[in-house]
Amino acid sequence: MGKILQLIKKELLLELRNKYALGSILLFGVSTVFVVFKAFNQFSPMTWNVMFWVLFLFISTNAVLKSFTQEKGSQAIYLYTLLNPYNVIIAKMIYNLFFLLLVGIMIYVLFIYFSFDPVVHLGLFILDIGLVAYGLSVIFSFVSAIAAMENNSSVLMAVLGMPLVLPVLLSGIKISTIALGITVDSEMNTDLLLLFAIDLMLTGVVIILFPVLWKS
Amino acid sequence: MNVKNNWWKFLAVIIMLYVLLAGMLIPMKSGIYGVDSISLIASKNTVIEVEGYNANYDKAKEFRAWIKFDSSHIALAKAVSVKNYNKAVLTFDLNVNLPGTGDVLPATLIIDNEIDGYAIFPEGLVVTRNASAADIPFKHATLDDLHVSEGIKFPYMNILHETIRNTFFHVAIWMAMFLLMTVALIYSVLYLWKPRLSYDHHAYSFTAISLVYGIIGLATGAVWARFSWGAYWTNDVRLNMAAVAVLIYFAYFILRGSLEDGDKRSRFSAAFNIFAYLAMIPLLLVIPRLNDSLHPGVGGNPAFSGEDLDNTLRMVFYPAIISLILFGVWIAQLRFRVFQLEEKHIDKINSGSPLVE
Amino acid sequence: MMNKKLIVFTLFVFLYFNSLAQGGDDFIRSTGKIYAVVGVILVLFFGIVFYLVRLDNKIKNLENNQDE
Repeated sequence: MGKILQLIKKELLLELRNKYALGSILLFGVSTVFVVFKAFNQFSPMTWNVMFWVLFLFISTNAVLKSFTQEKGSQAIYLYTLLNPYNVIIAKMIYNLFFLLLVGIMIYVLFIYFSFDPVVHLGLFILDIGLVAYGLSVIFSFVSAIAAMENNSSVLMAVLGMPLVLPVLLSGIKISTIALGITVDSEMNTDLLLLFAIDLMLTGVVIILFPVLWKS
Repeated sequence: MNVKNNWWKFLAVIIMLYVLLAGMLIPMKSGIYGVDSISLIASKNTVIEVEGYNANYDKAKEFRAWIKFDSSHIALAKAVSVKNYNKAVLTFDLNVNLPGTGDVLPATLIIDNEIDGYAIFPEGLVVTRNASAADIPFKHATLDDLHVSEGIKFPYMNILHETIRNTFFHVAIWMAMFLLMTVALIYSVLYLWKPRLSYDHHAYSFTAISLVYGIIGLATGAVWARFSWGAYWTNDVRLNMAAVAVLIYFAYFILRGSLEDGDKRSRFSAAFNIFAYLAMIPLLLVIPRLNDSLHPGVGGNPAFSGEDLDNTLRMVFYPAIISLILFGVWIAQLRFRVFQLEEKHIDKINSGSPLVE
Repeated sequence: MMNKKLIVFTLFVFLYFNSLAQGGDDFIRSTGKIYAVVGVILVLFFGIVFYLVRLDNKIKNLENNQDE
């Protein structure tokens, strides 16, 4: 547990030390949201919903991409021979989860700033962002571990990751339509539970499979 | 070809022949193809002309018809006049107190004769109430002595008609795909457990054939959809989920293509294969159940589940799956042998003359 | 070469089906849509044949290489 915390701290330090990394994501977010709103002018809650998740997907892909790629070089390899792969992947997933949650809330704030706030059930919406961020962080951590071994990793990661995140993302969109008051659904709990179950299952699979990727 | 070792290949061909013959030659049960007008106005002589499919109305002696509003409100036709082998005009007395409260109510038409058996037009009619007849009591007739047609026949369903036979090809190929993917998964797990090259090659071969099956599944689905729903591609959940599953497996081949030969590629693709399979399970099994779908059994479509996938359909459906799986294994074996040839070829170069580096 | 032919062939099949599918009371929808079943079987058949042809080409290449 202590090891995991240390690793998370290391991730955070890496992130902060590289000042323009965080700034670039913020800039990326602001400019895409700005372009989208200027292009659309008028928004219905449904478009708001769809645009939110599309932007969330693309910005988070960019944000997590460097998860493993920034740790090339002999120093990192030496460091990681000392570490337990389980600790590494769990730390990565937890760090990415909070990072993506932050990205999601950032996009939400930007959306409110540029247009309006259609969210009816704020708690449900935040929970939904959290669950989707959890799913995305698990999948992207796994995929970026694979893609890091390649040179054209950003392309490979997009290709491998996009189809895998679709079930999580579609469930998330379905729940957020309820949070935005577009649809009324009595089976909301089932949806939430299902999304959470998918997340948990993927977490388990990634934890089991990661040592295989770690050997190289 | 040695019969002793290749018996299952013969079996695959024989079962496929059986599926093609039985699947195409067994006739459909008689059904109601359509009516002249689905909206009826309740009166003393409400007339409806019914067109039958696979029908022998002119030969039947005992022709009866009912309109069913609910289980305790069934009206018997007071007159039936048969026009020809598949057309009949039915007259009902609906100038009575109809159940429910709305001005229009859905109703089911049921006809029965001793040659074709009974046929149902489920919720196909809309009856407009005659408000002035509210005090005339409903004459309830029971559905008794319904006939069942003799012989082996496939059930008739209204939207599907003869395309119910596609169950043996379109649905069966998805099932076969799923099982072949499971075989590929087992080989991937075996590779991670014991890194032998043959496991990796088997995993690749089975994934390749299951991807081919998946694409065929999408294509056959598109053909079927064009003639049942009117479009190649619809916003149907199950369809889109299946497309995503195929995309995930495309990614497997892209991953393999982008890595160089060797242990790393085998290991990574095995890991990705396991992850893809497990990510696909919620996709194919869970999510379609949560949403409305055009597929049978969901959102008011006629269902295959329960009694509807009846024993006659099963008699052909299960052999179809077995046959397609055997064919898949056969083709995967061929792909695997290509790997073996390549390996031999590489060995030959390596151990050959020193001129060849 | 083979691939180009197959693409053209697929395109023609697609256009053929598309032309058949126009209108409501057409050939495919006659006799209880039985030709939709025939279409599905043909797609299945040609899909498998397509893969077998590709496999055949792969083996042919290997054989040619082995001769050299």
